[in-house]
Amino acid sequence: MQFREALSFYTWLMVGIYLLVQLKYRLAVLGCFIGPLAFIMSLAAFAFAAGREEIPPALKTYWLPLHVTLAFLGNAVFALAFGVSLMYLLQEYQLKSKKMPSLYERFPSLETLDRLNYLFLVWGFPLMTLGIITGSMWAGVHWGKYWSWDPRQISSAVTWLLYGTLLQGRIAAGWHGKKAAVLTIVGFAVVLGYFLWGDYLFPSRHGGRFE
Amino acid sequence: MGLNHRTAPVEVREKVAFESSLLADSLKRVCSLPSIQEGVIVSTCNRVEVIVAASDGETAARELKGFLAEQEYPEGHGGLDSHLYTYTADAAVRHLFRVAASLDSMVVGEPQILGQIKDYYFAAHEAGTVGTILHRLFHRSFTVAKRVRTETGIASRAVSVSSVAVDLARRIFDRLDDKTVMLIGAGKMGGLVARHLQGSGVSSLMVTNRTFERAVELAAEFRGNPIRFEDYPRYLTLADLIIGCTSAPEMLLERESVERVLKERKRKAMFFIDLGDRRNFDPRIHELDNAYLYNLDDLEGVARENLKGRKAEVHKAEEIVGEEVTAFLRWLESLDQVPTIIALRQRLEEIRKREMEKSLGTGLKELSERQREALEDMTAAMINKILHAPITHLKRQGRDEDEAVYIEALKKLFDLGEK
Repeated sequence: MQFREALSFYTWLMVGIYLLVQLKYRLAVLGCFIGPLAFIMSLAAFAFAAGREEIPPALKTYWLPLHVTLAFLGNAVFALAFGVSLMYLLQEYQLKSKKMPSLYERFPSLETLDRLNYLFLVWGFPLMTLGIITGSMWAGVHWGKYWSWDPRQISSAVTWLLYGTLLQGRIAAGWHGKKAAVLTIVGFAVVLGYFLWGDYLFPSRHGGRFE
Repeated sequence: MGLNHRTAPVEVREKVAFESSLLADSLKRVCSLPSIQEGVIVSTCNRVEVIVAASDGETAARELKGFLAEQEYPEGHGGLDSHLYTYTADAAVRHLFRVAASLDSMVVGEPQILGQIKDYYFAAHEAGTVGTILHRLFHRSFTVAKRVRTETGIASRAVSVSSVAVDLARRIFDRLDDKTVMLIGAGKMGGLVARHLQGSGVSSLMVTNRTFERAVELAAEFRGNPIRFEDYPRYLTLADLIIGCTSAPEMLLERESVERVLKERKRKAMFFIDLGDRRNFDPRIHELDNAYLYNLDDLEGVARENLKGRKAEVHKAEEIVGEEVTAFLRWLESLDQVPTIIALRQRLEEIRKREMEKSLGTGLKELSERQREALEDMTAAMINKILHAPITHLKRQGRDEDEAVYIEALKKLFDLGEK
C-alpha cells in the first residue's frame, strides 16, 4: 500500500462516513469542514509520485487489509469527531463573545454537537482498538514481535490512550462540552500530524517503507 | 394602487382602510368599474392597496382613484392623491411580490404580511372577483415569499428581544421541549420571553416571586409551577433556562452559587437571561464553562445586528423578485388562448395531411378519386370532432380560473411551444 493510495482510501472512507451521518442527522454544515479536509488530502495524494511499489510477498496476509481498513475507519470517524468539535468551539466562542455573524446561523446547537462528539467517539474508539490489535497481530506474524516500539506503534498508543481517557472521562466523569471538544481536536491533530509527516520525522518500518 | 406606511400617516391609513364587513361589497364595486376585470383589496394597518387586472392601465387608474375617493378621508393631510402610488404592468407585479416577501414592510422580513395578503386574496376569491390573472399573480407572490424566506437570510434572523432569546436557546440546546425554564420575578419582559419560549416548545416552567401569592398567580397564567422565593435556589439544578426579571437592588445569583449548581447538574448547560432593572445575575456567571448569561443590553445588541443583517440580505431577495417578475410576465404574454387554438389545429392538420399522403402513396394507391375525397372528408371531420370539445371549453366565456392551466397543458401535451 502506497502513501498516496492510503491517503485516497482514507479520504474516501471519511467522506463516505460523513455522507452516512448526513443521511441521519442532516448536518450539511459539517461538510464545510470535511470537504476542505478531503480536498487537501486528495491533493496530497496526487502530489506523491505514483511509482509502483510491489508489496513484498511477506506482507500479503489477511491481517493487513483488515488492519488497514479498521485503523482507517477508526481514524475517519475521528475526523468527523474533529469536525463537530471544531464547530462546537466556534459556536461556543460565538455565544461567549456575544457576537453572531451569519455564517454560524446554520450550526447545530451545542447540545447536538456534543452528542455527536460522543457518538463518534463511541464508534471510533472500538474501531481504533481493533485496528491496533490486528496491526499488532500482523506484526507478530511478520516481524516476529507483537510490539516493537516502532514510532508508528508509539503514536497509535498515545492517541489510543488520549481517546480512551476522553471516552472514559465522558462516560464516568461526565466530561463534555468544551473540554471534550478540545481533547478530540488534540487527539486528531496527533493522528493527522503523524499520518502526514510521521514517516519523515521518525523513519519506521510501517507505512510505505517495507524492509 | 394604494397607500402605505411610507406615503401616508396613520390617520389617513385608518380612515381609508376597508372595513372587513364591507369588503365583499367593495370588491364587487371595484369589479363593476368598466375597465376592470379582476380585483383584490388588501387593507392592513400599514397599507391599503387595490390590485386589479385591467386591459387599459390609464383608464383603470382613473377609475380606481374615483373609487378610493369614495372612502372616508380625514380633514387636513392634503388630498388623497398626494398619498397614493400607482403601479402598472411589470412595476405592479414587482410591487406585489415585494410586499408579499416583506421587502416593503416597516420591519423588513417580518412574516405577518404574507398571511394578511393570503387572507385578502381568499376573501376576494370568495367574493368571485379573482380571475385567471390575479389567481396566478397571487399564487406566484406566495411562492416568491417562500423563496425569499428560504433562500435568503431575511426572515431567519431574530429582531426582537424575546425571539433573540429563543434563538440563543436553540444554539445552546438541541431541543426545548425537554427543558425547564425558571422565571424569577414578575417583570413584563420576563413574562414575554417565557411566553416565547413556551411557544417554541418549552413545557416545563417554574415561577417564583418574592410574594408567593404573585408567584401563584403568574404560575396560573403560564401554566407553570409556583415556587417559594426562599426555595428557588434549591430548584436551580433542575432549570436549564433561568430568566431573572425582578427590580431587586441586590444581585440574586452570584458566580459561586451557579458554579455549585453546575457541578450538581454534571455541568449540563445553563442559559441565564437577565432582564432586571438592575443586574439580577452576576455578570461573571458568563465566564463559567457551560453557563451563558445574556442581559437585556446584550439581547438588544444582537437584535440590532440582526436587523442590519436583514437589510444586507435585501438585494438577494430583490434578485429573486426580479426573476419571478420576468417569469410572470412571460406567462402573461403566453396567456392569449387564440394562438394556442390555432396552433393546435395546425398541428393536427399537419398530422392528418402527412398520414394521408403516406397511406395514399402506399397501401391505398388503388383508391378512386371519389374514394380519396371521401377519405379526405372523413379524416377532416374526425379532427373537427376531436377538437370540438376542447376548443369550446377554451373559448367559453367567464372567469374560469383553470383556463390558463388548460392552455398550458395543451401546449405541453401537443408540443405547441414557440416556433
